[in-house]
Amino acid sequence: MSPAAASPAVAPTSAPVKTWAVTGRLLRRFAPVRGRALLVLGLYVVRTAVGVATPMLLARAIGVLLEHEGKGGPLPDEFVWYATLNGVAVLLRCLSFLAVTTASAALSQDVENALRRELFAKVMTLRFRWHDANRSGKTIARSLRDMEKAKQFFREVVFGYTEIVLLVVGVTVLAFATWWTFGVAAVLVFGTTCLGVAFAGTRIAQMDRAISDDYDRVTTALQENVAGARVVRAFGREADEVERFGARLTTYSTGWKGLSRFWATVLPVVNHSTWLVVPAVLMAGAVYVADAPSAARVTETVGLLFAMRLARDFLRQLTRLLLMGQEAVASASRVFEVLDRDDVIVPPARPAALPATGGDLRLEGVSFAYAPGRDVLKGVSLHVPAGGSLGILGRTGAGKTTLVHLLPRFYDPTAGRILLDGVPLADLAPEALAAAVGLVFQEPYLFSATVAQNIAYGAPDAPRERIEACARLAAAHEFVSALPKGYDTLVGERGVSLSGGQRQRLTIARALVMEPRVLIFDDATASVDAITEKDLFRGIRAAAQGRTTLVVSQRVTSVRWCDRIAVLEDGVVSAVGTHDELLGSSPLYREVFEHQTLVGAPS
Amino acid sequence: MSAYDEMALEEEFARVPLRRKTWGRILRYLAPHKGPLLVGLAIEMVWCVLMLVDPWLVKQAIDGPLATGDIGGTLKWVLALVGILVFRATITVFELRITTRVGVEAVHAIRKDVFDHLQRLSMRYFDRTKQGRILARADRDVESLEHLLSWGPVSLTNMVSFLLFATGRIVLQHPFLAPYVLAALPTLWLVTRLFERVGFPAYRRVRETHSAISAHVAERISGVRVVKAFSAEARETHVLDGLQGAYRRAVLGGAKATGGYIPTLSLAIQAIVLISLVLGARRVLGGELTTGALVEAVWLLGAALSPIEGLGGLYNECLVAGAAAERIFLLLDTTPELRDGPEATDPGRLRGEVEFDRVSFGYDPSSPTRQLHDVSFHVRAGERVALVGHTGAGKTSVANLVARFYEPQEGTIRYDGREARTVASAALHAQTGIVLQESFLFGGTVLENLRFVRPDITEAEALEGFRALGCEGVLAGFSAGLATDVGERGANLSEGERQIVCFVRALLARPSILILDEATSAVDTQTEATILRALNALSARQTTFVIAHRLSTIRDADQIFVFDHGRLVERGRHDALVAANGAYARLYAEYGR
Repeated sequence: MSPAAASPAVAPTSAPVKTWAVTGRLLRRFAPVRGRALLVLGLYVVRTAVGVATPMLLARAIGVLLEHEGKGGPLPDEFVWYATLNGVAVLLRCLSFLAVTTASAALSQDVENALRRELFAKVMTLRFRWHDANRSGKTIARSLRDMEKAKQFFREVVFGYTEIVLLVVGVTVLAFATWWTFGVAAVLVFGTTCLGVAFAGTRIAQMDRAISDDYDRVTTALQENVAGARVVRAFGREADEVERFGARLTTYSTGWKGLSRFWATVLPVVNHSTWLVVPAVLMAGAVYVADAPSAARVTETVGLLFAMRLARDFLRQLTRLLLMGQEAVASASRVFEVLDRDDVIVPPARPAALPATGGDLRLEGVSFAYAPGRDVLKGVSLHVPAGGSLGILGRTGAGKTTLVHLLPRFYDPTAGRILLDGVPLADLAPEALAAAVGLVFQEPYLFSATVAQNIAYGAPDAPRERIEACARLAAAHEFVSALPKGYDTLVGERGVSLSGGQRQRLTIARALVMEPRVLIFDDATASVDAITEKDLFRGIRAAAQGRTTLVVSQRVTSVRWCDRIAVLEDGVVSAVGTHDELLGSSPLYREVFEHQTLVGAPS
Repeated sequence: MSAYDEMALEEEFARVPLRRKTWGRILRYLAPHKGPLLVGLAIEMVWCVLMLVDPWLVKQAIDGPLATGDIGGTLKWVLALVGILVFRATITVFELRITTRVGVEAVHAIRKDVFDHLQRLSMRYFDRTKQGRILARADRDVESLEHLLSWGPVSLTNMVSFLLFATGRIVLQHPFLAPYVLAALPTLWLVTRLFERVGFPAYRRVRETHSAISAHVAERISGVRVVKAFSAEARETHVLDGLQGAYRRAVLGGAKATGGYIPTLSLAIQAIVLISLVLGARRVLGGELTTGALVEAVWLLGAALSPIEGLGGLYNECLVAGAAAERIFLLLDTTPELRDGPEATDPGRLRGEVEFDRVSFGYDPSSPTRQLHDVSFHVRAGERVALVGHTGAGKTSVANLVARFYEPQEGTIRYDGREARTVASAALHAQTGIVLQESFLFGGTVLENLRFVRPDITEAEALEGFRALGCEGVLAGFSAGLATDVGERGANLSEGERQIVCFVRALLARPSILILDEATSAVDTQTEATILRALNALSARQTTFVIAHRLSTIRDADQIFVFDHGRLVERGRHDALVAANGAYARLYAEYGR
């Protein structure tokens, strides 16, 4: 069983979201740009004020008409004045819209980018234990998706609420300023709407979460089916797959229908309730006019009607905002969960320096456990002199990979210590350690970049000659030259496909560019055929020249050329020696050797 | 969906002109719900008409009782307003229940069609098409249709009704405004289209720059071990900064497009309102128009002109969704290559005899290149055959043809003496067991994965499967035995453990033909030896094809086929081939050296 499945380190993510705390934390993300944030807020106030003023001016103009209705003559000056002001207000509103849109976009973009940057940097620096616990990639993928949802908080939610609050408050103040009854009417109607939206929105968000799980299951079935197309066909399981997918799809569609039935019932009621503001103002207006009949009072009523309509249009957005906001906060809380992890390497305050040359490697009583009490390595002591080579042989699960992962400090030993040229690894700056220790992984991972960029990954400034020299050493130059664009050919997921052996040779070249004093091959030839393996070994042995080299393998053929070979059994070094010595001293080594030469291959 | 799929989609994200045929096919998914849908749309129209009654009622109130402070009189109109409001809310409930249901059903049908069709497509399609693209079709493209199918008909009805009814009412009621309104509509539409020409590429840039960020982040996270090994964390963050800078510029470009468009449109609308106000004012002064009527006219103008903005958005959505639909239909129109002819029947239990008769085959049917040339051989039931050769010699192609993932271009393949085309492929596949180098497991428990081949497998059978292979020790190492969750695509298991589960799965299928393509590459030597011993004991039950590079796997085979550049160059048993001193002997020497 792999460490990921064995360790209980995967934190449950379904803990209840502390909405207000997370919202506060999201708002504090604006702190570094608070000057600009205040400016944007000011622009919103201007825009809202102009927005509310426009209908009032329109109403004034109409009020003037009301007084002059049927009296003939040219347009009264007062009317012309109000109409012109109205035009100016419209112009201002448009300009402020442009200003607000661009300023708030720049602002929210900066806050969003800063958060994404922090999340990415955190994920990159978090230690291997965390990545192990999240190995399936699900959590990581989710925190990325979460980031995309959380950004809506900065983009739409904050400014949407700002606008609605300003407008509703503005209109309500206007209503109170005209006559308190108008104000009460506005408060009653808007208040009811907000309560309705809060109720419906919360319920919908709950149902939505349930459905999105169903949707995930539909997507997973689809993805697995496409990825496993060959397996599905090999066993002739197409009909069952159709049934399985159909069942999941039906579950999702049924849930979705239930949800839409709910909101088809509730939302029209909530939305239409906002419209009650028109009859309410009209009625209050009748009482207002009846109290002291005057054209001015009719005008004020008409103006309020127009203004209320504006507020109502914005309130319609409230449901959407509420849903988006809840989703953003829930997502943000998971992003913050990652940001709050502190298992990162703390570089030493005063890093020690390595001698100019060397490569003397010493492990002293090193133990390691992924989970407490379950030691994978038990008191391993080894010494490889500078320039020497050590093979590490053992069965699956013996601890070989774990052992070599301690050298670049992917993990730190739970007991014992590791010295490179006499310096404890923990005293070295992480960059210095990375430059000193080159690791070739079992799984050759290349980035979507050119061959040259991939080889020069550890030293981006490396000149082309050095890149080519390393490729030659790793027996990669020949096939690279045959690629359509040579060293400038795009490889990786979005580039040309290379065979496992070819990719592995590139990763060997990549390790060589750093000119590491210690070079580690972690079962680098496990998944290539015998012929490729021979080619690779040519590269490996050439690269090992003059460097301390560690070779991890399950096969004797891969390690027998090393100066010495350590046999690892259940986390303990059971024997060390040369090939010939081990044939005599280690039963396990003998057994492995005999199995592999079953066909009587000449030695 | 991964970032790559997103980018794959982006590359194809083109502005496809609306094609009538595509829309006909989209509408066909709505056709089964014609009745309810039409009822829903009729309700929407009624709703729109009622919306226009509102300003009239307001006008009645303002012109009449309100102006004189007649509370009782106003109350009459207010109650009428409330009544209509309640009525409107009620019919909307019915309408939404209908239309959203129709949308869900239609999308359900599309999703199902796409998935079902994918099951009928041959491996050739999956070879040719990147996974990301297939998923983009089946997932993202369908999603982009979802919104349109759920809301498109309603939105369109709404906007068109408003446009028609409000404009009609203004034109009829206030003919003096007619020329302005009628001139304004096409002008506003032009403004909308003009801005979209700017906006569409701007938003495309936003999506592209965002995809670049997602791709970078996703790739660095998959390769986080490499990043760490080279201590490149800070550098990668710096690269992200550059990408985010481009993204920011694109977003600002998009914001400028929106920030320019909406004010321009509303400026134009407000200008018309002002013109109408001034023109109306003259009439009010002249006594030809009441103030209330002018208020109503201004109110109506807003209602008549504002749908333009929405129509522009809808038009754009139609373009995007139309392009998505076109890609979906392209997928649905891909004809499955491997269709059983009318003569195909269920052969019953096969003995496992396989014969290749002058078979030539290439993966790309449109190219003359062949991966196999004129291959003939005969394998008796129960034999173990090893396929040997360098990478690219044609071993896997033979295995793929035996498993009938593909059809050969020339020659005939026979199972138990029956020509392949007379054997129903589903029946053949049900009797073929296959273990690949890249072991694929589905998310779920070990037992669920075993049941993939036969849903009625009992726990006892599953345990027996591990025991028969000599791998009960591996099972014992799983935290929860058969109930162990293997994780997404088996991520909780090691590569070797995954291969063993796949092995057991293949054997539990009780195959007549077993194909092992580098099936033990990730298993350590001792476990491999155990599996091979077990396989020897079981091998009489089925015909076995083995592709392996380790000679230990090959040595005991009944026949060894040696391939070179797509040709079968040698065959025979190990000792005879070594003695013959030909291609096999050379391979053997190469390995041993």
